[in-house]
Amino acid sequence: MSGIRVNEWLHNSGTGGIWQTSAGNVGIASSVPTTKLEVTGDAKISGVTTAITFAPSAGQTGRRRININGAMQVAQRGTSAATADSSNEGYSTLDRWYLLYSSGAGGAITFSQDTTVPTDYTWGRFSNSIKLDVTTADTSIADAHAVTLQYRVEAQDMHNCGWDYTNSSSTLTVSFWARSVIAGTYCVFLFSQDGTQRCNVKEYTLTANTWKHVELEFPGDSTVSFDDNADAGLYIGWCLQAGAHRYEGVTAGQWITRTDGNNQGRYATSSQCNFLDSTSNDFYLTGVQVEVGSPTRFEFWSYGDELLRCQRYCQVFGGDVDYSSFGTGGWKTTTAASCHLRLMTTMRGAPTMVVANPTASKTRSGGTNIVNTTITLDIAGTQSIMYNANVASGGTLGHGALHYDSGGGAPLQTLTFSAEL
Amino acid sequence: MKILTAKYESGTTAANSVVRVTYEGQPSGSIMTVPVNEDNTDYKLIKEWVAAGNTVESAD
Repeated sequence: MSGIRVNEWLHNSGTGGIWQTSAGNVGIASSVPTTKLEVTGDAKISGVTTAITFAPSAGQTGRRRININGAMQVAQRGTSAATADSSNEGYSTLDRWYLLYSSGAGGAITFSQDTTVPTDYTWGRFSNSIKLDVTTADTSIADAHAVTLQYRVEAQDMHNCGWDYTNSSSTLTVSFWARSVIAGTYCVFLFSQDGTQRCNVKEYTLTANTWKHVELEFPGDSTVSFDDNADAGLYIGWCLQAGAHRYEGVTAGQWITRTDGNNQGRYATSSQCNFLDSTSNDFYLTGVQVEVGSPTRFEFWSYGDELLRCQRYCQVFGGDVDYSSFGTGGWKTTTAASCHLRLMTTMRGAPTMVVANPTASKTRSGGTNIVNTTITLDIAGTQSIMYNANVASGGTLGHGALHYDSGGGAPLQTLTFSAEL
Repeated sequence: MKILTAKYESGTTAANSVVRVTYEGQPSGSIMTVPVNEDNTDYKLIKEWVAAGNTVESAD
């Protein structure tokens, strides 16, 4: 038999199988195909796929990941910090990751970069994770208390990322790997910051000491708004403990206005477990990807790309080697040199300056190297900094100034500039 | 960050252009200076601290 010729053929299930039209169009699980190939549903191709162009109808193929440091590689401030309410709270270790003890919540956690990672590489392969190790338990949870790990996105990045955020049919996906010593229900929340502040909480469950990949799709909401500016736009949070006000009125997956009821940010449902109930508890998180549309495999960026993007929010000068040079400038009095420092990349806003070990540096005046007493900010811009390198005496008005780490090993001086959300 | 003290410092271009802050849990000897700038989240914390009844000391 040389062949079978028919005008059209289709599976007898109707639209459930293959359909070929007389025009040569082929559909798989489709209605009448009007292009050469139409597939309703997912396609899995084991070989290389080529085309003149690829044009996704939703989302994008590159730079899908909205968040930075989702693989937990960058830790400019350090790799471990002992945290508690008002002690190292906020940004303390891994860049862009913010640990918050709301309303004086109790307990203490060591927040560190770790190498415990999932061995299932379906969603990507990772070398680092966040580790949260409870060092002081807390079982006295007041209504307003909450402990949350947060990632904060600029408003303009939410405004322009492609999420049709006022459309309930458009979704933002948060996917990640998580593992915890204690099994139970955990929550992830979105908390919009512009206009009417809105929260949406979703649940996931963990089995003790077992990595789980979680994909949570959040719908848009007609009341959510994001300004086109560099202020905070969206908080994305992983809840670890929540008091009653933090889940009041919350139904998983539904938007709620912050001011409904108790005017507290909603971070959980009532099913949220208390991760801080024992000092035996550890929680791990990695492979975090926030993207428009359905979840996809973790988008890899080089370490250099991740670091550069983190430096929009935090830059650390010095600390890597003796005699690091900082700013240069001139002596404006005998006790103060005005130094200028060009930032590594444009920062989100005018940064705060934190100087560690201020006396572990010197400033040169002619042939004299003078130990600094304090280093203080003068003018902060998004691209450059002017600061005062102060000494007890010995500077010469009009001399050039070079501010540098004084050598001799630890402690090294660092200048940290922070323009976080 | 739980602020303990805050004091204005005058910069080259303006008086009271930065605030020197001490805070709970601050590493010994470190110095934090915050620009008076509404985009800076630490400055927003200082404003909240002032709204709670605290005072930023005047510059020397």
